[in-house]
Amino acid sequence: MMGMALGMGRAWAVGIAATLAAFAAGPAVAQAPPNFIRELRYTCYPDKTPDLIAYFARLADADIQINSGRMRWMDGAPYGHFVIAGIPAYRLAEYDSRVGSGTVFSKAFGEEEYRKYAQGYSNAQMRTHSVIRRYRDDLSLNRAKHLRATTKVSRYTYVTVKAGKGAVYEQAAQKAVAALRQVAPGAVLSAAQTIAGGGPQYLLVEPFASYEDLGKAIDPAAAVEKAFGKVEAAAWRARLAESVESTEVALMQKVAKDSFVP
Amino acid sequence: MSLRVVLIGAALAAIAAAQQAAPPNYVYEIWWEVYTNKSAALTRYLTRLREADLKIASGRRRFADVHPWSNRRIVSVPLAELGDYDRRPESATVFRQAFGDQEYRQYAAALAEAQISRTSYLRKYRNDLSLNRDRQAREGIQATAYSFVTVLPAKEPQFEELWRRVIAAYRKVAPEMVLTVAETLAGGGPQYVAARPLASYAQFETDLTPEQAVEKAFGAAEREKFNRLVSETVRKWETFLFDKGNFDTNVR
Repeated sequence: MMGMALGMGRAWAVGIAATLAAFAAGPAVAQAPPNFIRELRYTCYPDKTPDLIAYFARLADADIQINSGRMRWMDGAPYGHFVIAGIPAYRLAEYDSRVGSGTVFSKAFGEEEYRKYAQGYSNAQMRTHSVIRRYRDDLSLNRAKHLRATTKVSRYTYVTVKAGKGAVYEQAAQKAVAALRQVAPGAVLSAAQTIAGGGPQYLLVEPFASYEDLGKAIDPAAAVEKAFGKVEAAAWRARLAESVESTEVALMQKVAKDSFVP
Repeated sequence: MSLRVVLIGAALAAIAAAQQAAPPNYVYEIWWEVYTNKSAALTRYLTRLREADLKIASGRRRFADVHPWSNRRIVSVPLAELGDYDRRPESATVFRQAFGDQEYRQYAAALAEAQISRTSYLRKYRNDLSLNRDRQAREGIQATAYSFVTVLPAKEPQFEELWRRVIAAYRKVAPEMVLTVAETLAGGGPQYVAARPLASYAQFETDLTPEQAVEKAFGAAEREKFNRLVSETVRKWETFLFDKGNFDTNVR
């Protein structure tokens, strides 16, 4: 994809101005939480991670300069070399028509600068993978308050569910959300279901303004017990044990400028 | 013209005739993992190989899929019969015949450097587990949703029975859907692969998942039964969206 963009002529880049202008206008429901997220998941060479981050920082400048309207946020593992570029969308059709980053970058800063940054971006990658997830409002809490602008650190919980047990897991997840709504009504939790890309079928993301807030976050198991009592909590745990293969928790921090996301 | 070239020419003509006559029953998949900063070498190689196949009218069929923002590429070689593979000229031979040894060496060296890993799978298409296979075409598609299903040991018959129920559901609620299923014969990994060709990502958004199709066609109780049977037969079920690569050769 990048190779294609690298070979793109200036005339073509000018030709897509109309498309970019249409993007800049943005979707009609720009303030509503997105329905999909495409994650580009980069495992970088440790010494070259800064080059990838520099590319995305400059790309964000490009998006702003030409007012592309392309939504993107950037998270990275603290002290690590794993980076996620998240591309939210309201409809999957937006991925069909999204203008390529090479086009945006070249239009803003010229082909030569793009080539320089693109080389750093390319050389920094050890392994790359992409997934598409669908946000699930019914498994989330206060999604409209999930704001990147006030987030410092996010807790990602990846949930791998046993085959055929999705419905059982979702019942348990809905119970946890109901409990949190009672005992921690201000908590923010965005749940997404993986629809392409494999791996864990669910990702739960909790944004926090600080590590201090992270420390205060209530555990879902404790919330269920507090809200519904010990008996229901035991039944809830049994449903999780029946349905969940494994869970993995990761902390991620913002690593580069976000683009066109609240 | 040397005798060797004449013989290759005759073999190619025979393969071309045979392949055009029958829909593929098998597919040889070569999975490549390439370094991001060298992935262009595979693109260049496949582009030039396509030109070589067309130049000498080899009739060899090939299509390629690219996992976006990933190191993964799949090059697939459809075959009418397994014996076709015995007679299929190697890519190196075709490339050299079309463009000479020197150019082949140059491309092959760059290709070798670009690879992290390479592995292959041989699969057999299963018409009985597919839907509208006759309408499967590479033309007009933008992407393919591949679902890889790993079945628990010795549970293949149960899975196939379960999947036939899925096909019956799709036939009822989404009769136009094209779904091609292949069973893995060699290479390990998931035993079944279902390929769903897509004109766009937007089309994927409106597709029903198997369990949704079962519920829509046969009711909520059947969905519960479906999920129970899945839990008894399936270890892992993963779906990936691959973009169509621009290297299709002699495939419709």
